[in-house]
Amino acid sequence: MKKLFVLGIIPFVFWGCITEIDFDLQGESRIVIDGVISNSPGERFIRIRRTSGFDSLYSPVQATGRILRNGDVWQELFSPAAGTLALRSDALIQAGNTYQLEVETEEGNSYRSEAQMVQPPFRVDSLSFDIVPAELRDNNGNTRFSRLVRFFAHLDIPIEGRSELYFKWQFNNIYAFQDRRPITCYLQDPLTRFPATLIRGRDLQPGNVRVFLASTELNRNFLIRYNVNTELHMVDLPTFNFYENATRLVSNQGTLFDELPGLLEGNVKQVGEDEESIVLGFVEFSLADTARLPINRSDFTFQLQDNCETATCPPAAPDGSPSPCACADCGDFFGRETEIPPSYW
Amino acid sequence: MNNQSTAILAIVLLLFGPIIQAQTPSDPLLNLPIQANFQNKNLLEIFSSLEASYPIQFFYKEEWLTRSPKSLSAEGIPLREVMDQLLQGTTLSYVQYGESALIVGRQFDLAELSGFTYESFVKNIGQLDQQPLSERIPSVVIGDSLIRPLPSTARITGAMYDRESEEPLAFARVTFPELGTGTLTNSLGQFTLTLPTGKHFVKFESEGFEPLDRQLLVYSDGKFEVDMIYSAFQMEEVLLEAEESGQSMESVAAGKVEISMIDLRRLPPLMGEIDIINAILLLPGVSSTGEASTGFNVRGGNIDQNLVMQAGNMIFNSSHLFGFFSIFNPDVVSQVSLYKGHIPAQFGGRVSSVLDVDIQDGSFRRTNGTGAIGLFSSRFAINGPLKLKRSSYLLALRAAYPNILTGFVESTGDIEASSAYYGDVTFKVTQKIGEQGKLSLFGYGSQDKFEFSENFGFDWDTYNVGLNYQQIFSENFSLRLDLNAGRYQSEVFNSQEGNASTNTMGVDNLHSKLNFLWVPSYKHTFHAGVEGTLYDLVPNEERPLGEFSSIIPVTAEKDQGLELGIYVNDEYNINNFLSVSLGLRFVNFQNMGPFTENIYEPDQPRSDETVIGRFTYNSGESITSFNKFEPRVSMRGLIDESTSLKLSYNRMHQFIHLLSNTASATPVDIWQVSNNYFPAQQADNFSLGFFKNFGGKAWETSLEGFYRNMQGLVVPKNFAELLGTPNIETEVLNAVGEAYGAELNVKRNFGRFKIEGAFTYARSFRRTEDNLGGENLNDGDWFPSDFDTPLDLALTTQYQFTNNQVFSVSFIYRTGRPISAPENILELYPSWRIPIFSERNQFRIPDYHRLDISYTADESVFKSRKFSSRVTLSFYNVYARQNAYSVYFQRRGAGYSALQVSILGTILPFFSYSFDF
Repeated sequence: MKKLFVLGIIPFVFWGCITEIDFDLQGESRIVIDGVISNSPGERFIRIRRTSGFDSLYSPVQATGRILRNGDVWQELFSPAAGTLALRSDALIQAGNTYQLEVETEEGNSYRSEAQMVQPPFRVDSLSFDIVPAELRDNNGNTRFSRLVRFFAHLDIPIEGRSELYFKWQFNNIYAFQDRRPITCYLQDPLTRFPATLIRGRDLQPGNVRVFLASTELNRNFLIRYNVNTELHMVDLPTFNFYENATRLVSNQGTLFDELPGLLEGNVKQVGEDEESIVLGFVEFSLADTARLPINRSDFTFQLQDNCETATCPPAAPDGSPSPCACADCGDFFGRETEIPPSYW
Repeated sequence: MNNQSTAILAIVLLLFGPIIQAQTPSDPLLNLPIQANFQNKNLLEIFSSLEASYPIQFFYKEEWLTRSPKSLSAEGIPLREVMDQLLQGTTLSYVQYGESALIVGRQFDLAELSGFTYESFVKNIGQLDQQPLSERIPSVVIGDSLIRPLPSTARITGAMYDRESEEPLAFARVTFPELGTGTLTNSLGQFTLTLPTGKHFVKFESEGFEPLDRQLLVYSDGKFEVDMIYSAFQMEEVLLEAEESGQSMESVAAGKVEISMIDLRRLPPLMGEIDIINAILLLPGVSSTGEASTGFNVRGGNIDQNLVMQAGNMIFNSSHLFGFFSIFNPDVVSQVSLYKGHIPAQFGGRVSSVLDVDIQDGSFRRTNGTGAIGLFSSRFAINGPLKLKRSSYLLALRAAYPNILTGFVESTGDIEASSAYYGDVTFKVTQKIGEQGKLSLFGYGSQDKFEFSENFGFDWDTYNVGLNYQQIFSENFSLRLDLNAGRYQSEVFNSQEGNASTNTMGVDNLHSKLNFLWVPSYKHTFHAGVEGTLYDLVPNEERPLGEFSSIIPVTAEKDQGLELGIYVNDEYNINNFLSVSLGLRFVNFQNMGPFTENIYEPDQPRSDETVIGRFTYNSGESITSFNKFEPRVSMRGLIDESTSLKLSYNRMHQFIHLLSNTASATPVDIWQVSNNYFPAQQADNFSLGFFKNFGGKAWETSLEGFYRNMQGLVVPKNFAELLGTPNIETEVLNAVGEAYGAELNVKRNFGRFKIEGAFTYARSFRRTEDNLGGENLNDGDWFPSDFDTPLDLALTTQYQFTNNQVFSVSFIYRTGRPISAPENILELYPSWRIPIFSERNQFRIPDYHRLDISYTADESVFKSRKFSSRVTLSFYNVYARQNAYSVYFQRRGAGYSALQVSILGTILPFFSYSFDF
């Protein structure tokens, strides 16, 4: 009888029955043009590539390009590598101007991004965190009790014009200091809320507000020191919409209540007579404000336990993917560790 | 006369209905003076004595004559008076046979013999002798059989009742095929007709009851009653039928389907419960997007394009538990009619179909109950008189309780923290007003709740209350007045950190309808009336949930609209071969204030950023108005007795939209009335049907084609955000649609093995157009609608082992519905991988098919209906097909994999026990 009950309950666990199926996912080859141009050192590249259908193998496309400011050519881009165009380090974009990308590929096609008005940066007053108990679920649906560290930003939202503010938060270069002597390292934490935390100004109350940004499990990365590094990009509405729609596509779980997926259109169009209907990718011009939050062991009112002292982790898979081990050491986890302290440390 | 000759004549008399001369006062035999002195003798002895003393012969069955009449002592009184006194107080009567014989028998049997000449009897006796016993048609005498001279016409008043419950049968059919006339009973089960005197064959039919054939012997004005036998007592009834057997060929309305509750009981139940919506999904042209999908689609229409009525009340969500059950309690439903082709002018407000579900009155004579106990749900209904024969009540309750069951299993995590249930209550109080009027108060309330792992959940409620008054003014004129109020409200909560919120939405409505029915002759049936509906939207309101939610409260503008309609419809039987239904409906819709309407930049897509102003309307002020005419035409031509051809054309309008941006409609979709940004929906529906019966009516076949053109639709934009959006017009695009298809239906409706197959090939498309700024989906090309399933097959069979055991099998096959699927992967800086989806609905999920079986043992054939019961064992999805509800795509290693979500991907056994008392 118990089995009968179980069978009957299945309908109410709507995503309890999920199977992988054969599905012809071969799409057409498309040109992909994407990149972020800001004044941050790591965000001054444009990539030009071509997909080969759905297998995600990208091939770089040789191209030349330039950036237009307010409709006029402003900077020619140089190509540090195949399929990559870069902006000179001393060329800084400025708020209040419109910028566009123009690209010509070796195939003879020309592309141009829509003009974007660069928004002035928005100052982050501070970051904070708290810790809350949580019930976490793994990929197999099993649950366990743990604790979450939640990160917040503190902003001063103006009364006027807040509906025209579009916040895009990125989490870059988040490092945890790990002491696995004889090895010590700075381990990059994959805190990847994709693609970023997106907040509309109209959804925030005027005045000093605390904005939830992201959370991560309280784990051994916090044993010594953890450093949150955020960048707040102020973007225009089309840019915001693009990232928001991309977020929906990634988070779509196919449940009964997920929104219908749609074609994610970027802001780059082919120009000229031989127009290609769809160009993938998005080119963003924005300015960012950076905020950091160091979290030390002493910040906790309780003792963090390192349960990995005696743990034995399985070796990495043949394809190099990391082992499913929560106790990875500096040297075998994602390859994102370094012995050199980050510049802000 | 010896017993042998008596028996022979009695057989002739009783079985074959011969005939006899009419009795008149001048008949010498009946005026024969009799010297009577009968004391302490039974009739047999008295007749024997008379035979011995007078030139009289009596024909009778001895067992009828065991009764002793009162003592009779008289001298010289006519034989007629003697017979009348002897038979007074009995069910016996007599007629003269020839010049010297009297036949004594039961009144009805004798009356059948009257009015015929001896010669006609002699002439017909040979043919009658050939008739098998089973084909003998009982007779009913109307009026005074002795009246002379007979009037040329007589006014007969009749009533039809359920023999067991003694309840009147409303809207039952009374047909005189030889006269080419007929009528329907009114809501009190009564009918009145004026007929020529004489002998007429009549057929009584009522949904769920055995058809009854009678011969009416009409002498003069009179009344009579007919008791119909509930089909539950005869398991040989049809299972799922398009109207009555053979009626699909004969009726003038193309695409009208009536479903009896008996039919429903024989279908394999889902989760142990029979269900109206699941039953109509077996009909050609009716589909859904899959398991756990709300509502149903008819001939390529959206789910909101179906007018769903329960006891005259509008239903805005017909589903419990995401469509596993419908809101209709099968124990209290009296009649279900689905109009998927021709829609008479009495109905309006939706462009695709009408599902009209009527609720029975409580019994006026005795208390009845019914119920069922299942693994997941139970139900109970009771009804009876409040005041004997004058007023009645009905109360029905249902509840599903999977939560209770979860307590018995060792579940953890999400399952343990999940819950789902529904409950509903139906009540009805009916009061007869005089002999020809009836007033009913109906109420319905339901609640659904679903929570998953405390992370998110839904609940939705429906409340209806309605007052119905029916009055019959004469045999051919009556009215029905409905006054209804209803609320549909839903809520979704989401505990996602940072964005924790609740959203509420819904629609209130006030509805009234006054319908006059006038039947001046058998050739014409007129419906005329007025109808009004006030849609008062419960605005979408988003509120933060918890102290850390960054959600700012948002409330959409409250919106409302008033729809008024006036209509007339005539069903005109031109002759025995050609019938037409002609109707015209005029509708006016006004979108009314108070409302603040956004004004957008000209020639620019509507968005929050293109708002250039706002216009405020005061309360009751008209914002926009639509005036529309709706012609409704249907024609049936009988080619021969077994073949007919039907044509129909309807123009329909709809002034309310259901906005949905999920793969399947959900309880949190948003209703929106037409205004300056949401156009009026319009559909032109064409259908052509060919109907042919074979083997008498043993096999019924039909082939129907349809084409539907739709204007004024809206579809959500890509990535439309419907919840928490104050300006929802910015999230949709204008669109048009078309649908076409062919439906083949084959039914064997005879014997112990019955089968029905419905095969549909149909397509349904949408195209965005007339959108500002060139904003379109799929480059403005046609694309399949979300429920475009070209091939649809439903096969239902039933085998009756014995009178009370039935085995049913149903099989469903359906092309997978369209979806959008990723065609590319976009890698964005720094390492984000985003699936790039195709344009809308360019792929399909795998095809859907499923086999269900059920076994039903019905005790009611053996037992009185004072308590009968039924046991059903069913298996859903026998071969455990993992049908795809949806397909989604998830990153796996370097690429993406397609993952299929199955709702009921295994075989599910169910058991239920139901009872009546």
